[in-house]
Amino acid sequence: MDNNNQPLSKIDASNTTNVKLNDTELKATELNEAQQTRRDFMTKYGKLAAVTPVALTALMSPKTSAAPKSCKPQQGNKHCDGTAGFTGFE
Amino acid sequence: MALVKIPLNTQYLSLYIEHDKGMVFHHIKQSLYQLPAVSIAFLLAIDEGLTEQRALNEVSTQSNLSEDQIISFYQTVKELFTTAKDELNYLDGRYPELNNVLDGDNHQPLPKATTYQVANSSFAISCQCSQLMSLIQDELSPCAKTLDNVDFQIEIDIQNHAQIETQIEAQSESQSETQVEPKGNNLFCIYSNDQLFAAKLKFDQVLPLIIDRLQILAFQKSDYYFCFHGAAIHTTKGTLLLPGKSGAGKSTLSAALANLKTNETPNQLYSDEIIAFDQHFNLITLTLPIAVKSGSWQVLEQHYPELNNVHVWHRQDGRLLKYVWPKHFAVPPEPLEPSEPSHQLASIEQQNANKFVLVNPNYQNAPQAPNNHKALINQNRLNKFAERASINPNAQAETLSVIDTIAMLTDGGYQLGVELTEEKLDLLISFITKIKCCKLSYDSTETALSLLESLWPKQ
Repeated sequence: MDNNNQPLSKIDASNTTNVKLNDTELKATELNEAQQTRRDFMTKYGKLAAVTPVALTALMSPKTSAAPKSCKPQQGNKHCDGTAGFTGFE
Repeated sequence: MALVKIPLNTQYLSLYIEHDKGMVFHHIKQSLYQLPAVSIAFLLAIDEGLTEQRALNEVSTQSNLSEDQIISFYQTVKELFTTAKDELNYLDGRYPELNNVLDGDNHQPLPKATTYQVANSSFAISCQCSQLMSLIQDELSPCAKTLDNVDFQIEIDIQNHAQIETQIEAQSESQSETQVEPKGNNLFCIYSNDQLFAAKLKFDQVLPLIIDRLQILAFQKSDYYFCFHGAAIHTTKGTLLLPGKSGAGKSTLSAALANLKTNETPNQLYSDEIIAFDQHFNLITLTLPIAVKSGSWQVLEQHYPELNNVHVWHRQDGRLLKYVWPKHFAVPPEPLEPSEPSHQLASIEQQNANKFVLVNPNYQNAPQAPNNHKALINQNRLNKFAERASINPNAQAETLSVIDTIAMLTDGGYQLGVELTEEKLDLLISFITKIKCCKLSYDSTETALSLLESLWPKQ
């Protein structure tokens, strides 16, 4: 789509009178397409929106990275003993 | 819908979308987050420069949700749009003994210590209790190796009773709940390179913690990129990954598989607990025994008759364990020369070795026989019920999306050996996209093994 929300014209390779886009125009075209992609997705995901328990879930962060059998709180490993004197795998 | 990456105006955010879910990677925080649809819509709205009111209005209109219902989502997503860096990085908080490197004579094993090699890490284990040391030597004998120098000194000391009772009295003055240790039994503490990492352990609790520690320390020294909690087994059809939380069924399945053959060739275990990949997604082998929980002893006795005779160990949460050794461990491939293209592999078997299937085990107890209220259970009725249970429609494999796979992998426990960048994240995503990922629900090991057979790609 161009800036006026009109479909971009297809480039006809057989039509020798077509003007080739220069680098600036090409970049502008790509930016417009990216912008439209984001708008399309925003509309799509707006329609899919439903209230869920959590808005954002951290999957990987420096805070949660810890050896799988360690005793970091978020791992919930049952074998960890929280009593004083047990340093666990900290 | 395959996973797609949506270009954003905000340079420090990358958005990935798959079906109705999304992930956003924050380059500065080096953190990856999962988003539901409404949060994706707000992220795109904020990225496009919409004001709060306009974003709320548009999403509310499209979703038929009220602004009150969705404003908290907007506010949470808005917090992503910051260039503030978190304090921690992935290489912080490594195990303290890694910072307490042995030097000089400290590299030499202590007197009466037994030395072991696991992956490319070496350990000397010594213990003040000869009976306990003897049991540890029996359990770990397959990885014992004579070594003049070691990376880690593991010392198991008997804690002083008088000191313990003084500590308990001091605790009872300051806390309302106090654990009273049983008198008459030794308690132990464990040091690794002079760092105390466990204390007040009973005799039967020591070895499980030692093995856990060896597993963790052994791969820390390697050049791993990603490490997940789970088992990995090499077969001639490819490598089976079994990630998941504790108690999901990984060790039981991996123990059974490690004792089987595929195409007349024995399967080989990488590890029953640690899936550690380098940048080429080669796996690290940890030559340590498999921990079998009490619920699986009977099931695995046909594969490991020694389960009848080995010592029973205890986890601190009370779970009982026995250890068994697989017959074969996987031999990692030779590292590629820098100039050698990765596609030049010697044989079809080598090529198959690069095929992976990832299965998240979800063991569900077989339905219990109906309660007949009164004394005796009708055996015929029980048999019919068991027969129905063995063809339970819940015994099935459900394909996992890329986002669900990453969520499952990280939820089960993970560690990164490198700083997470967009490039490394894309490497992980690319790997997961290429392999088969599923969740396997089953009610018996036999059902799981036959279902696993059907998951391999057809040759």
